[in-house]
Amino acid sequence: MSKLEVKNLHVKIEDKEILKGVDLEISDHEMVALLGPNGHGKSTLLSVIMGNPRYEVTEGSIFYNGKNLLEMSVDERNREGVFLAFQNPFEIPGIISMDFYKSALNAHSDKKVSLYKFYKLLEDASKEVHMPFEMVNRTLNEGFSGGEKKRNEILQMILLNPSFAMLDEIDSGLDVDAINIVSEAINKQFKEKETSFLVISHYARLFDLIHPTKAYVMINGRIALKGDASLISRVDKEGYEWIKKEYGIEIEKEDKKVPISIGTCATKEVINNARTTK
Amino acid sequence: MLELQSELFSDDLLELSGNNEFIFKLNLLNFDKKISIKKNSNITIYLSDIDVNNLSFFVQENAKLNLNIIVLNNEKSLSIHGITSKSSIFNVFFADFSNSNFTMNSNIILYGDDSKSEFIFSSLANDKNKKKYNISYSHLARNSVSNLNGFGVCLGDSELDVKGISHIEKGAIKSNASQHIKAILFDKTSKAKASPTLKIDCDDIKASHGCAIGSLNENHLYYLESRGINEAEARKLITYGYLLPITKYFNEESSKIIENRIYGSF
Repeated sequence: MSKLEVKNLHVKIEDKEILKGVDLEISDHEMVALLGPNGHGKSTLLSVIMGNPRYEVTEGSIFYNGKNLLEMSVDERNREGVFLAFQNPFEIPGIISMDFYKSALNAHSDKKVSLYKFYKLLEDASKEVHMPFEMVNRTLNEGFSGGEKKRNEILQMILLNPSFAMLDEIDSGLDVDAINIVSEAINKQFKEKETSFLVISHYARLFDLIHPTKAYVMINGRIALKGDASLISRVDKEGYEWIKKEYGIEIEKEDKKVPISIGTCATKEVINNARTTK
Repeated sequence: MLELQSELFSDDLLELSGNNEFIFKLNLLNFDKKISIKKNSNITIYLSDIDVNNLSFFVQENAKLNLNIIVLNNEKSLSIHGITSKSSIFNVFFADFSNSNFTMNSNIILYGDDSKSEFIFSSLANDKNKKKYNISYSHLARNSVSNLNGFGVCLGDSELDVKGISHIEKGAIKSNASQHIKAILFDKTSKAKASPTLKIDCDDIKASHGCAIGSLNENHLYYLESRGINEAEARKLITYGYLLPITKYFNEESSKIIENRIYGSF
C-alpha cells in the first residue's frame, strides 16, 4: 500500500498555475528522488504536501496513510508524520532554538517531555549532525551559516522522528564534509526508523550517498518521467535535453522577472509588461 | 542592592557614586528630582511603581548609568531628561507591561565628546491601552553615539505610538545615531504607529533609521507549524521572541517578574 498518494494535483499561486496534474506515489520505507529543472514545481509540490497556505489546491488529492492531508492543518500534517526540511529555513528573531525544539517535541507528545529526556535527545541529535551543543541557545536560524541552517533542519528531523520526510535541496550550501554528515543522518533515519524520503537535489553526489531506489522527473508542473536509480545517473550525465528528444516534451523556460531597481528603466518595464500581457 | 530612603531626598539633587545598584521606590518621588552620577562611577538604578514623575540625570565624566525601568501597574507617565559628559554612558532599558495607558517622554542630550546612550524598550499593550513614547536625542558632541531600539506588541484594541527623534547638531562630527522600531499587531483592531526621524546638521556622521509594523509573519508561523506546533502556540512563541530579549538587561529577580507578566498575558 502506498504511504503517500498524490493524484492529479493542480496548484496555483496568485492566478498562476504551477502544478498541472501531478501524480506521485511513495511506499513505506522508500527512498525517492525528485528531479527536474529549476522553476518547474518541485519545491511547490513539497510545500503543498506540507500545507503552505500560500498555495491554492484547485484540483486533485493528497492522501497519507489513507488520510486526506488537504483536510488537515500544517501542524496536524506534521504530527501525522510528515516533515519538510526547508530549502531556505526562516530566521525567527527572539525565539531561542532550544525553546522551539521543546515546544515541537511537546506538541508531538501527550504529556510534556521530561527535561532529562529532552536534553538527552537534543544532545544526541546535535552530536549526530556535528552541531556544537551551545548553538541550541541561539535564536532560531538567526546568524546561522547556510550549512548550519541545513544541519539544523536535519537535527529537527532526528528529534521529531517523522515517518515521511521531504528534503528540499538539503545539500545546497553544504561542503563535502557536511554532505557526508547529513547523508549519514539520512541513512540512519532510513535504516533504523524506516522513514520514507522524498528528496530534491540537483547533484548526484547526495544521491550517490543515500541511494534512492525510485526517481521522478518533474517538468512543466507535471511528473514527466518515473524510473529507478539509473534515471538519476542519466540526468546527471546528460541534463534534461534528451527528454525533449526522446519523449517530445518541450521544457518551458523559467519565467524570470528582473526586479525593477536603480539602473532599470521603470517606464520601459511597464511598457514591456503591457506588451507581453496583451 | 541598596534601597533608597526618603531622607536621601532632602535636597533636590541626589549624588550617587561608586559601583552600585539602587532600587528607587518612586512613590517617594512625586515631584521633580535631579540625580547626578559622579565621575568614574558605575551605577544601575531600578525604577518601578511609578506615579507621575519628572527625573533628570546628569552623568559625569567617564561614568556609566544604566536606568532600568519596569512598568507593571497602573502607571501614567514618566519624563526623563539626561545629559552626558565626556566619555560617559547613559542607558535606558524600559519594560512597559502595564495593562494601562502610559506616556514616556525622554530627552537625552549627548553633551560630552565620546559619550554614548542606548534606549531599548519592550512594550506590551493590551485591551484599550494607549501607550505613547516620545524619545529624543540631541547630539552636541563629537563622536557621540545614540541607539534607539524598540519592540512592541499590541493586543485587542490597544494603540502604540512611538516617536523617535535623533538630532545631530553642528559640530557633532563622527557621531552615530540609529533608530529601529518594530511592532506586531496581534489583532485586527490593534494599532501601532512609529515615526523614526533623523535631523542632520553636520557632515561626517553616520545615521540610520527604520521601522517595521505588521501582523505576525506568515512564513514564521508556517515554519513553526510545520514542526507540529499549533497556531496559538506558534503565535505565543513568536510574541515571546519579540518581548523577552529585554530581560537580558535586567537582574534575575526583575527578569522573572517580566517573564511572568509576558507569559500571563496570553
